[in-house]
Amino acid sequence: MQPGKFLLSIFLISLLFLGVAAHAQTPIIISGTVQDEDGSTLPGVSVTLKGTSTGTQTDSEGFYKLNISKPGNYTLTISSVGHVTQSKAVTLKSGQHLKSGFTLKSDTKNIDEVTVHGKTETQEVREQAFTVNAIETKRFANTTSDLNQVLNKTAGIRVREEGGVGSDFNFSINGLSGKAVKFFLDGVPLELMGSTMSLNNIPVNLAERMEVYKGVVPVSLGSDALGGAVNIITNQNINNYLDASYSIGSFNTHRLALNGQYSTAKGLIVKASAFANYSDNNYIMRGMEIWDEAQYKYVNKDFRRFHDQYKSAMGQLELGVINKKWADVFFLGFSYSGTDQDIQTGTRQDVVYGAVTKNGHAYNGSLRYKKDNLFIKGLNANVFASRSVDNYVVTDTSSYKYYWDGSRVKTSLAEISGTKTITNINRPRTFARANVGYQLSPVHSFNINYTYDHLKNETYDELLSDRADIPGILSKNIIGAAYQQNLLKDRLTNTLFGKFYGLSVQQSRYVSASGEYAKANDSQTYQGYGIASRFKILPDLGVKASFEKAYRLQEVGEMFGNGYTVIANLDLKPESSKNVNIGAFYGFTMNKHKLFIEGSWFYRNANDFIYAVVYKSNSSVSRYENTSKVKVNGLEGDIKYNYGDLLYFNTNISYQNAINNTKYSVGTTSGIPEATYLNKIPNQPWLFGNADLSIGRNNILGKASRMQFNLSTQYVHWFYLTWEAYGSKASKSTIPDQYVHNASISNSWNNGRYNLSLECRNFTNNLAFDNFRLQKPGRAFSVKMRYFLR
Amino acid sequence: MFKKFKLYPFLIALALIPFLNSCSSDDDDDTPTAVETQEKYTVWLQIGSWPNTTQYVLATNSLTEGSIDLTGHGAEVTGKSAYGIITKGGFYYYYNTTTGRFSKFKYEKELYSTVLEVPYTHLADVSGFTWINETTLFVVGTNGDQNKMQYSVIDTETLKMTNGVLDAPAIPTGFSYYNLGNIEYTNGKVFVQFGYSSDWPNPWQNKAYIGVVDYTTLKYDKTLSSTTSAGPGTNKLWLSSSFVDESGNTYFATNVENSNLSVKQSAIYRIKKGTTELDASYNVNQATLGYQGVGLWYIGDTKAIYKYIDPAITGSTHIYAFAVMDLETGKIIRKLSEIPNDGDAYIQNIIVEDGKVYMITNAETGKDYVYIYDIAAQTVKTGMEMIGGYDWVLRLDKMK
Repeated sequence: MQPGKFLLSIFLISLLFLGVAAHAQTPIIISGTVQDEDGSTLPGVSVTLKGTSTGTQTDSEGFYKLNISKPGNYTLTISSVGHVTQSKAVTLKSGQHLKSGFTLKSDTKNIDEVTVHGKTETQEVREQAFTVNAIETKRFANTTSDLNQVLNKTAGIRVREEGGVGSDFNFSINGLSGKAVKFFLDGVPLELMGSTMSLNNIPVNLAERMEVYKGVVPVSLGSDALGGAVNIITNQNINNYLDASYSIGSFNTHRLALNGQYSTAKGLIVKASAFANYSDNNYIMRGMEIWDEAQYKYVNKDFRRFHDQYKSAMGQLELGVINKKWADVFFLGFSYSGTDQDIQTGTRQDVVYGAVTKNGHAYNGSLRYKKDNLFIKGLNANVFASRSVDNYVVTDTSSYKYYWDGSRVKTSLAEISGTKTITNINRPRTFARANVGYQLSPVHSFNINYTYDHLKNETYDELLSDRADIPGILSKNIIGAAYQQNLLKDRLTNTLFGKFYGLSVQQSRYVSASGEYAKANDSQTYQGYGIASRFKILPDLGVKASFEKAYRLQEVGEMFGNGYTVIANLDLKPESSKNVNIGAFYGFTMNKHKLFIEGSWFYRNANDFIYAVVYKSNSSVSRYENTSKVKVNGLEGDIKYNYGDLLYFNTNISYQNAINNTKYSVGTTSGIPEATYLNKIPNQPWLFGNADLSIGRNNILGKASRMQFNLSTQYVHWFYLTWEAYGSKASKSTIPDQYVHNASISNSWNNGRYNLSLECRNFTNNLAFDNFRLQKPGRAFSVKMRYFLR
Repeated sequence: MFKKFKLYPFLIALALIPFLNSCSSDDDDDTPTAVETQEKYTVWLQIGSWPNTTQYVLATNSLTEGSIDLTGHGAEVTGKSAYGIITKGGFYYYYNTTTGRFSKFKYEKELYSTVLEVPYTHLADVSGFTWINETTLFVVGTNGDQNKMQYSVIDTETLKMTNGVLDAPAIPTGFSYYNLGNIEYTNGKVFVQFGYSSDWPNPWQNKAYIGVVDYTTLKYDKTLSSTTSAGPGTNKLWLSSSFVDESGNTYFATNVENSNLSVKQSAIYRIKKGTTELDASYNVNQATLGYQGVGLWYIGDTKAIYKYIDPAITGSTHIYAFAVMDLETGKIIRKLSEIPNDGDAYIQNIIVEDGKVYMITNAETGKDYVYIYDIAAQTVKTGMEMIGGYDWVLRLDKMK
């Protein structure tokens, strides 16, 4: 059975199971929406049952839901600063689902004194000392976006895609990209789910929100993230829910997403999430060169992509309990993910492939445990452990050269490198993380984080061998410790942290003189440190500054090579960077108007970037070296404005100036600085912006319905492919300006339970390039149906 | 009044130029004006640290004086062609294996433009080339599996080709591939130097071969062999090590640097004019030369520039030194110690003109110059400077 079909079956069965289960539940529930006098929904409103420990806050749509274990008479209290508190007596019977909405009146007196209002979790994250993009994904829940597309709309982030659905991408945060950026899922590395699980295929519905840490990363994400980190946070709500969606669109694109939770009365919880993506990616490539024998020249024609089918699927099941004496949270989980992908082009669209494929699958078993107030009050512990096996195969065995019209010529060469290969990469991995936090007092708190990461890397060519002769083993021990102080009634927050990186690598090396393998070991330690501070001048006006000396540790292959075509370099240093952010934010709320502005300046001074260097121009041997240094200075700004729930507008702009700081190139000791020293780094977007507009009205198509229209625009300023100063202007290659406009309209019924949306991406059908001569899709339509039960 | 009178005929003449030009260009491809504006020499340069390395071609009319600077000048060649390229008559010829095209380029007035290109996949790569005449190019290479020796005869005006397979001796047991390199055409015969190899890191077969091909019939006639040294020599796209001298003798050198052989021995072979045998009386090898060679360029009057590995250098990649050798004696007659050691063997860096040798090198320290060796006076002096701290000076070509 193909992974796609297998996953689809699992998906549908789970859908059925969870759908029935969600209906079959019998605990007591109170839910409803809280709004103000104008009818705008109120997020962050506190909803409590008087005399009990049960309580919650309304979400971004003003919705709350409480699970109550015992029947009885209760008083429900709804309170929000700036509004008059309301109470309501309720009598709850077993199995009852009481729906109770509230309208809060403004407390003018209160507002005169101080403009405080309910803040969503994302807003609280934005106001913390770290420079962070906090993105609530709910706004995108009815779109067909994957996580990359959502993140790409935010300040300081640039995702450069090579093609359509599932294509390779480069993710950059404030000008640092590639291995400098680490991805996390609920605080643990996303890679644990396998290399097939990536931001370009995870549907937006699987995430509750995302946090992007720029340059300075909290210790709890224990990792060697040089340029920043993205943390995807899934729904941690303890209530039952089901979010299922399916979309169909241009280029035969189908996407399925399922995410749900069911808890029994005894507190046993089942969580399931799954997705499946399929696309032919057969979008039109405009103006491709093709040989015309009659005219005896190359002519330009439009062709559909013909070898770019993409399939991916993931399924995860977690079983556990919450709120037990011995554990607040205890879950055991298992996941599978797989991809099956055709590769259409090389790094430029004039290199056409017709047979290269890439596929992979990964299994992961995990355990997570959380307990607050462990042994003593204020001591919170959080443990995660997992074992995963990741395998992927790149098959390049064609004997043909392909052309855009699909025709081919026998060459008896493989397409990528000439030599036929079936490259297998197996990566068994053990990962553990323990995090302990202690709140000594409201002023002082401490956090210690330890991660252990053991990765074996087996790479071999199936055509030559059935196993890796020289697997590499990499273990990382990373300890982070942070101290946070909240002074002046929480107006001033300082976080001081240190990180200890322990790296140990092991690999057998081929010794060409003796023809034998010799084991090589190395271990190294590095220390990083940083500080993050925030001062609130006014309750909604704050300034922040942060600094980190960050590292990206070496990989086994980089240090030891593969023994013959890549030679070892035991003197290789980790990539390191000094990162600084200085920023300010201001929030303003008046009646229905809500404005949030943030801006920051960032500075990165990165050294020792690791790249493979070919020593001799025509040699088959390369070696990883610390080749280059880069200095980045940049500015970014973001404005969000809401008018009640009628209008939402967001715009951001990012500017980054990355300078080559490499004075002498590797292997030269010459007194003359390298020509490109202090030149702007080429082939990197340096000015880009986004704008997003949503207009929504309730009850247009029936009661409890909402219609929403979204318009978004993305702009990337043109940039040079190569060094700006060198070569004549007329001969220089550029990546042109990119304007992409998307529009969607959606309607939801029954308070968001049933949703239908129509979307058009790139509706002006502009040519879009993230990379030189790699066309991205033109105009594309899609329809999405979503069922959301809570 | 006087001014106006002069201006009118001038403007009319100016307006007529495009018509005149378009009339003449139909029956005459070789517009003389285009040739005249092309610069005399080109230099290929590389700048930037990986992954932002970029290669450029830049032109000059004099190698003896002045300087060139890439700032605002030259044309990017990265993505269009590698610096392993064929040049003749002001044009470049390049086989792009990733796109499957054979292209003819011209560099002129800051632009590197495509003159003509055609689909081409007959060879896995160009392993060697030689000129049959001014417009006929003979290239050799293998098939994709590297187990067949193939050729193409290319008309460089139209890029029309004749493709075929040479009936070379089968690959011996224990080896998997043909290795091709030096190739020379003289007196109706094409000589193709080759060797056999296996998968890396296994060493080459310790033997050098020269296949004799009759150009008129395109038949593989016979194989010459020697165990003095091994392998195919070098690919002239990147580095020269064979030539035909003015008296019609053909010389083939070997390059065993990357052979993985435990004992590496260099040799130079000679085929005398009109014969198709190795000259048995010609014994030039590592013992006579004193050093392991990587490249060889003929400079006239039985003299050649010998590029060799200087074993005295340790802890540096700049191990390639230059010397003048006498082809008759097989001995080095003058080390060119004035020219800094090169950081790479595979640099096509020498042109000979009017009794002078113009050379570039990748020096470890100091400025980059064109070095001029006066053959008669046996002196070295610096010529044009390449300003700017370039990572690599990749090749030097004479355009006309």
